[in-house]
This record gives sequence, structure tokens and C-alpha cells, in this order.
Amino acid sequence: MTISAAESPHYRMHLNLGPQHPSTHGVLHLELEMYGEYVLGIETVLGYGHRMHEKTAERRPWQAFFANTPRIDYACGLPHGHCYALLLEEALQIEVPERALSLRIVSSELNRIASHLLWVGAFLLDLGAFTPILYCFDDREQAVDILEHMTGSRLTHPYMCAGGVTGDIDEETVLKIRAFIRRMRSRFSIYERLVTNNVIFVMRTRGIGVITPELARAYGATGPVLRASGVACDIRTVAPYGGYGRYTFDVPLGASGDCLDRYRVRMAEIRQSLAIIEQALDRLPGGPVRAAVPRKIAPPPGEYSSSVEGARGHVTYWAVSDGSEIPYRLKIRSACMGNLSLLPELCRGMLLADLIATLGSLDLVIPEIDR
Amino acid sequence: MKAYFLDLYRGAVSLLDGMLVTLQALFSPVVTEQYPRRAAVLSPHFRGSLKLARDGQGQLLCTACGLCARSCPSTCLSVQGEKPAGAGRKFPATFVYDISRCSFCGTCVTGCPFGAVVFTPVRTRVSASRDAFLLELCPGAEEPFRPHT
Repeated sequence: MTISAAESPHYRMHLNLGPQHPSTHGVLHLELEMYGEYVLGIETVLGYGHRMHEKTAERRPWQAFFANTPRIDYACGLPHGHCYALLLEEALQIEVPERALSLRIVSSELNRIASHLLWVGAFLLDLGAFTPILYCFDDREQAVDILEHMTGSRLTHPYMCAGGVTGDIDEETVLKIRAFIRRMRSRFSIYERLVTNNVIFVMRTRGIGVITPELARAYGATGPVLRASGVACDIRTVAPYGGYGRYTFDVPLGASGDCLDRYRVRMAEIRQSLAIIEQALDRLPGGPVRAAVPRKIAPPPGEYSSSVEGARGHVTYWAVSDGSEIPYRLKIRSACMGNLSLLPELCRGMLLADLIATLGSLDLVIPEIDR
Repeated sequence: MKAYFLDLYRGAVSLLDGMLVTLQALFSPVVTEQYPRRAAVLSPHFRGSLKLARDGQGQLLCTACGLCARSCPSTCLSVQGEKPAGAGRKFPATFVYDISRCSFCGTCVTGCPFGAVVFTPVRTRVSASRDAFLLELCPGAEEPFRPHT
């Protein structure tokens, strides 16, 4: 009896991908069970980037945790700060000034654009296209420069605080943001010609890593990953927070839930974010940017929670107060865990190169999972 | 067969169009900031080293209440105050700032009810000694650098 080449045990192998592999976006370790070039199964190993954020929150005063919020999801940190600020404001019954609400939305949406641009560049790097990331970083740099001017730092923006934001913007910054909106809108045609219409890109992504709406719901996927499957779930419209209810914008949806749809949804979200920023600047109210907050922040005993829409999906903070100056417990729910959980389900029978494309399309920030 | 060649044609056109974009970029202005050779332009709001602010008469605004030190997530501040004879309030006697622990989050700046702690855009500090990163922000203190306890 002869063993055919396909049945040979030599074709089966155990492959470690990461945690230092460039296409694992941070420190994700995947243990792959392979059959030749095909993936049979996958086990994700987490914990390499654990920084004990939740435990840190239980050791320092409530307001000190604002320093950690942008560091949880370093690519899009402002929604995390926004979420924690909403939680504290609910707990302390603070009314936030109108101008602060607008500035929070402007900065969060700029951050979302910067994050999506970073993702587009990194995703195309995963697919083997080096050039687009240079264009993405050129655009992202403009957004980061504006955020640096608004928040004081370029990546981990500690801009949100209980009762408002830490700094106001001047007329010059408003003009800069408007110039950025104009520039970004003119750049979409470049991305269209360079990426969206590119035959290699389309063939590498169409029909790859298809997530059905049922599968996405079953694994708790959120954000662009869920919306690319055609589920219209965006906290900004489903349960508007922080003044989002006053803005008109669309929730871009995909049809088939493949990698190409996830790319299209994120590019469309950049357009929508630009529209939100424009509306916010058109009716930017005057006045203070921070409400008066008590010197000693000690919410009454009880449980508090708040949810926002980050660049990757739902962000939820849940806190328990025992009435002291230090949180008793703070639990953070980030989007990446649910989105990553889809990968073992999707990968069966996939080619290794398609697995990298699918992994990239989920837009994972692994340290966001390891908190 | 016709569809096959049409696909090939469309693919080739899409690739050539993409290459045209990169060709145009070749003739557009350079956007790279030549950082080490040329100093980077920082925003005036950049969060660099902390300093103590003064009022119009040149007096420190700090009342040594210690709120910044208590709320600092990195515990990098330590303040001790004293009330000089004849003064109506407390002034800081020492204000030690461990910049090696600081994450420039601004909890002290936003939390200070007197606006006494502010950021400066100064960000580069190089030394071979750890003590050089313990900054005494209060100018009247006897020792320039005091060990952090």
C-alpha cells in the first residue's frame, strides 16, 4: 500500500505565528495546525502585552485613570477617555458644557480617522503592498498634528477629563481642521485608484474571511467588523452619547462580510467622520470647556457604566464605587476580544496567506485585549 | 474567452492607474520631516516638562495643598509647604518632580484649582545620572535635587 502525497504525515505541521511577527499587529501569538499551506485549526495565545490597567485603576484616585485610558487602545485612545469621562459624569451628576461636547466629538472623530488610516496602511502591508502606507501616513500625520495641537501629545492623548476637556481650541486650529477635511476629501480618489480598484487587492480580499451576520453576532463582534457583515449597529446612532444625536451621518454597511467589505466600510467611515467634524465646527458653541468638578472625586456607592463607539467597536466601562476616592472595581470591555474570537472559526481550510489577510482585516490592537 | 481577456485588460489598466498615482507623488513636494538634522516644530501646547506658574507679581501660585501629588497616577510629585512669616497662605518649600516616572498625562495640571502647575514644551533631557531627573521646581529650595522618598 502506498501513501499518497496528500495523506503524507509530513504535510502536517505545527506552526507558531508571532508574538514578534510583524503581521500579528502587536504581540499576538497564534499556534497554527497546518496541512501544507492550509490551516486546520488555530489557537490564540494572549497575555504578552498585559499592563494591569484594571488593577491599576483600583490603586489610584478616580481621576488618575484618565492617564491610562488612551494607552489601552493606543491607536484610537480618545473614545476610551470619552467613555471613562461619561462614566464619572454620570456618577457625579456633572453637566458638561456644550463647547466641550463638540470638542470631544471633533477630537474623537479625528482620532478615528487617524486610526482607520493606520489600519488601511497596515492591512495593505499584510497583503504585501508597501506603497499605500506611505500615503496613509502622510494623511494621518496631518490629523495627528492637529490632535497634538489640541491635546498636547501625538499618540496617547489625555484630552478628556471629568466635566469636559483639558484644553480649548483657537480659530487657527479650526482653520487647520477645515483644511484637513478639504485635503482628506480630495485624497479619496487617490486611494480609489491606488487601492480600491487595484485588481490584485480585490482578488486578495474578495470572498476571503466571510463573516455572516449570525456568526458576527454569536461571537460578539462589534464595530466595522460587524457592520461589514450588514448589521447596522453603531452606538453613536443606536444609543447616542455625548451629543452625537444632534449630528446627521450614515452608518456604512457591507453586504458580504468579507475582507473587501471591511476595507470599504472603514473608508466610508472616514468620510462620515469628516462630515461629523464639519457639522461640529459649523456650530461650535462658545463658552467654557470644562465644568466645575469637586476637588475630591468620590462617586456615591453604586455601579456605573457607559458605552461609546471606538474605532474598533464598542467600548464599555463598568465601575463599582464604595464611596471612596479610589475605584473599588473597574472593568473594561473592548472590541478586539470579540473580533479576535472569530478568527479560529474563520480560519478552517484557509490558506496561510488568506489567514494573514483576515487577521489584518479585523483591525486588532492586541494590548487592548490584554488589560 | 472574451471575458478572460477583458479581465486581463481591466487588471492591467488598474495597475497602470495605480502606478500613475505613485508617479505623480514623485513630483509632489517632500513631506518627510528631517527630524534629527532639523529640529521638529512642536506645538506650543506640547506636553513637556512641568513648571510652577507665577502670578503678575512673580509669586508662585502654588499653595502646597498636595492635590497634584495625591492624584498623580505615577506618584512622581512630592510637595512640602510652609507658611512664611507675614504671608497669608502656604507656599511650597520643596516641589520635587521625578520626570523619569512622569507620563505627561496632565492630571496635576487639570486637577490644580489654582492653575499653579503648567506644562512647558521642553522635552529633551539627557543625563547619565538618575538624580538629574529629580527636578526641584521650587526655586527657593536649598538643595537643587532632593532624593525622592
